[in-house]
Amino acid sequence: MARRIVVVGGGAAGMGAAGAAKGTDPKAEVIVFTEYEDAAYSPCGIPYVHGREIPSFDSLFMATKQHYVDQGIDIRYETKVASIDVKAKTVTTTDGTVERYDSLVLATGFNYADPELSNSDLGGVYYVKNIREAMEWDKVLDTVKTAVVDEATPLGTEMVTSLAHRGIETHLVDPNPWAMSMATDPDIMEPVQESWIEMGAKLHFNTKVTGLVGDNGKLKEVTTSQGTIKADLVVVATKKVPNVELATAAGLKTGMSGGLIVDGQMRTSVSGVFAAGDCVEIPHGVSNVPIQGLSGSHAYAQGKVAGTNAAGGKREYQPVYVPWGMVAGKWMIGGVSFSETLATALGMPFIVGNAQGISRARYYPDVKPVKVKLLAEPEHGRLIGAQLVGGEGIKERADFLAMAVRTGITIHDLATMENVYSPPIGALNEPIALAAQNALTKFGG
Amino acid sequence: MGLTRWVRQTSEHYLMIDAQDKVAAKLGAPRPLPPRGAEIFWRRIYVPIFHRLPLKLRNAVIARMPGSHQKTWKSQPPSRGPAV
Repeated sequence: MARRIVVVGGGAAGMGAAGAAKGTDPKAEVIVFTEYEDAAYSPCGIPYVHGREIPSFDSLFMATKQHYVDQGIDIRYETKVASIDVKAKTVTTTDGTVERYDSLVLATGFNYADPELSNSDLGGVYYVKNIREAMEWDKVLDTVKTAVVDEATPLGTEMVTSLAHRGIETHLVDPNPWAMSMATDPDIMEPVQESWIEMGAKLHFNTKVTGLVGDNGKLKEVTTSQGTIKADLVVVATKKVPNVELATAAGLKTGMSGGLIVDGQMRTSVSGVFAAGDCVEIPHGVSNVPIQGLSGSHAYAQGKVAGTNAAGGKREYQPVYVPWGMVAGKWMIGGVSFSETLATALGMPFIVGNAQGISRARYYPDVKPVKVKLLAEPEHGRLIGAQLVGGEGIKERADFLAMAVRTGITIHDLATMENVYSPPIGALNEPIALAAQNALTKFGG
Repeated sequence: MGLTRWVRQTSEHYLMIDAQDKVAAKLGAPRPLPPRGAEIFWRRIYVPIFHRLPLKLRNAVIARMPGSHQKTWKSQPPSRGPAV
């Protein structure tokens, strides 16, 4: 009898798992349940359609529904799983359908942290997640004059940039003293915040959104700890929290971050049940502290591991170092692992190296600044974190620095690194090497 | 919310605010608002005690809290010798 693999969730982790399971065991019966109308699209692209950088939502779809039919993956759209019986090895949907499984992959994703707003049932409160809803909200945006973005998380940062780019008067309200303070330092975010102001955005830091005021069900004002803001729309971009309600009801264990506990094969605390994506927690490669709420690329890679193992294969996932990057305002920002703020919070000893470099030869047209900030542990000089802000070449440097952290490369290595020099694509002096050389002056090397 | 999750979340929140204050003061950036009410306990008492604990002890406490870090994670073995 063919192995039966059930996947709950049709996002990056779920579809990664389904594809990997089918690839590992082509005879397996693979069923995916998703509560939404679609699977396999890029929700991460939604802010850029709102910002008119991408002309249409159509381009966010990565595959047609027929593609999955042809692959032999049975996707049950608009079907919510209500419960799991791990002893009987069945899932039951809200319409009462019961499906047996040999292996189960949970990819139930995230919810936004409760913003704790009064009158949150008013119209004009937008949670960016589902593409069909985003299409409707995009029409609403044509009528919006003023918007509030609640919290400068990565999504909040993207939405401020997109809404301001679209010409909407955008207010960013965040309880911290600078944007994306969970991952960045203020010196990295300063140019971004200046560029938002140039784009017409209004920034309200050290401020918390407290409630909404409306008229006839329509949003009129957003109240904050520092006063009120007239607004037609509020985008809730609070922290991602793992969606584990279904899993915990079935008896699966969660860890200290709230995500499902998994091992390197993405096995949960229950035999035959795997999990991947935003609903799980993964140990950090430097601190060993479990973390959750990672990127779509993490979710997809974890889904591949879960799906392979669910189908009888063997694949391992690794602790994470979390390279990240994005467009923010008129800049690109990125980094990996620890910021100075996060290392300070954890009481980790470190030294810092800074450099302001350039992306191409200084005389080449469109040369852009690239600022690099490196953190290294002071005993051996091993790299433990990096942040970058610049006009280009940020993602590639963040990826490279993530491998540097993961493989234990030191600032000695980076200070003497060889680099590509070609006027249109790279300067004589690589900014990473310059930052490492700066760190060495504090290291005594 | 379970106890360990609450401890982690609350501890992380106030440790981050304290770190924002220190880094912002060092770099001349805007600082967080001063603590009020219950925040005073966390920022003026809990955070200094946390930082006074030896790193090994803190790591030992974290290691004992429930989570994926207690499971088996195989790191890739380091390469040895020349590639060719």
